[in-house]
Amino acid sequence: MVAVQTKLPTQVSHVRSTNMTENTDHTQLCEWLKAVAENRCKISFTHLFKFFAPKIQRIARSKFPNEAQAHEVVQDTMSNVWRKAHLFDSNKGAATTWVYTVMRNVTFDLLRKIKNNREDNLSDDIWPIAENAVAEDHSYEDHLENKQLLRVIEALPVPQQEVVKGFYLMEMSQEQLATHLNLPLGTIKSRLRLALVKMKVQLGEEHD
Amino acid sequence: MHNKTVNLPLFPLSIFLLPGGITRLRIFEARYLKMVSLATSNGGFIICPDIDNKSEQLAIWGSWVEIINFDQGDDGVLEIDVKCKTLVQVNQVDQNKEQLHFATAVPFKHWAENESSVAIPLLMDSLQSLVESNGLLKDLYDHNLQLNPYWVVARWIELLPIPFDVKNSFIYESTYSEAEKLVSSIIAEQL
Repeated sequence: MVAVQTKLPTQVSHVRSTNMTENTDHTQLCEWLKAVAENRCKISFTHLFKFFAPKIQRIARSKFPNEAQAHEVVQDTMSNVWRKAHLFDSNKGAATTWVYTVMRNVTFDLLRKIKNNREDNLSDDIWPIAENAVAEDHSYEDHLENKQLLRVIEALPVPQQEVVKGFYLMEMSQEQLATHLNLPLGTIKSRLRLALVKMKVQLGEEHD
Repeated sequence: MHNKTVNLPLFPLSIFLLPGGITRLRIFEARYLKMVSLATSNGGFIICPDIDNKSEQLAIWGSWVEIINFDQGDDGVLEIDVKCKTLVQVNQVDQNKEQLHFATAVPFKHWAENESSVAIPLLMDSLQSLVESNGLLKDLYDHNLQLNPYWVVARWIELLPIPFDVKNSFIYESTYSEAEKLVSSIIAEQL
């Protein structure tokens, strides 16, 4: 085990992977994990390491004050993946989800260790982020469910609204739809209105 | 899978997500971070709009989602990509000590789960070009676009800027043809 750990590369890429989903081949990840579990396949493990290490590194880096601890999370997570690959069950979820859980547990362990060493260093919650900042007014309590937040979004200039709404609601704006269909906004508006009227008539007829 | 009661954490969000639909959520509240950790071991969670009015309503539906990916945003917030596996009818909602809601729910079949090889090229092509031109959609759906007309119409219903309660009317099994007509009349109508 220790031998495996020391063989892991310590230099981890800091390049931000912005399109994680784009290149994620879940079947491939599952196959690699299986190969590690059944045949202790080092090549498959190298592939897994290349895929997961930068992501784990990046997440861990923001939870810990220094680089070394983030590296430790990467090392421990990946060595646990090596040791526990046989526990992964592809029927129960994606490989990414499983590795994420392993990483989470490693992070908890490390934070507990740090906490024992230096009581004042960090809280035992690994995600201390927004909680304290927003606790007073609960303005984020239910995310977009919160009507106040929606009102704030409505008050934003249109481009910003789109960024916020697009991100959370995944819904296109009328402007985006007009651009996409290469039609004037007015045409889109009347088309939407007409379509909804038509639909109401149809549904109404059906329900009578 | 259908008609078997499940008990899963609830994430309150007014988002319209049909089976097969993928979205990215930003998780920053402690209780929902806990929910994510529960979800990874318990088979997902339920996204359900309008949790505030829940107690009075009986017919509440939600999207049972599974986490298919995770990442961290530029601001350090955890981002998870979730995919809806089925719709559920939420029968009961309880809250635990950590203020996390749990739903007792029964999955039901939706037309978005149907399959057909009869393509609807206009709607499909338009969806494909939309996905290719939108960074987030490309992230979420690239390489996973389907020709199945039920799938295509479901994605359009999620994406089109139409009122939430109109979208809501498409959650019942018999409404596929209305949904297809609506999407066609907006996207593919020749003027």
